[in-house]
Amino acid sequence: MAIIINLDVMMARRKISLGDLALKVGITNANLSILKTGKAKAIRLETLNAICEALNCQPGDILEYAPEDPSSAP
Amino acid sequence: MKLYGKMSLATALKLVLSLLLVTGMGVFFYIFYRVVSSEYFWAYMPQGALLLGFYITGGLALGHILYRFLRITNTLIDSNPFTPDNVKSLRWIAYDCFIVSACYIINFLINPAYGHFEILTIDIKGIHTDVEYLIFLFAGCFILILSKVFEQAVAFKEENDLTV
Repeated sequence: MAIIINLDVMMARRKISLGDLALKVGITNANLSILKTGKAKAIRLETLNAICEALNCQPGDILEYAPEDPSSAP
Repeated sequence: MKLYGKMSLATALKLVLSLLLVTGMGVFFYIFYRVVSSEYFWAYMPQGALLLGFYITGGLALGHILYRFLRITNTLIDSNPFTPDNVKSLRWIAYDCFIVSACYIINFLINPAYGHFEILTIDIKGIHTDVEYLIFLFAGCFILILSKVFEQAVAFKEENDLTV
């Protein structure tokens, strides 16, 4: 998929562990791990909101669009 | 009453299916032995062998249906029925139904005993029908459609599980 999750980068910048973030966001470690490893198929706005709040960042800091075919980039 | 999960209707069903599978296998081999050891069978050799072939094919298909139902029941007991394996099982059950139906139809076409075909007869022994093949044919079609529906349900579940 062309969407890249940069959650691990933001977590490293904020120096927060997976467990602590999961606790702050209110989701399980397993679900946060699914998101972190890029296995998630969808993300709820509610979850994104909670992550942005916990990490004090913008959605764009976590989500990045990188086209598989670079010629199709806007 | 609990329909699925531990100590539920599915658990009872599993027990019945296991018993049926074991009994069915016993009866299958017993009838096979009785048929091949009878002189009557060897006297009608070309047709007898064909009918025995249908018996073996149909019997194995029925055994496979029971086995696949058992696998589905196991997932019901584990409270996790939406698995790709169940989709495969349902598809196999549908194909097995078609095999049994085909055995009935071919037997019906080549067996002279079916000269007096009866859709429905009622006598002192009960209600009888010669359209078993239709039952299996329709069941097969329905289960095949159900397997497609199940396949979609599995995809939805996977998507839901991976939505954070």
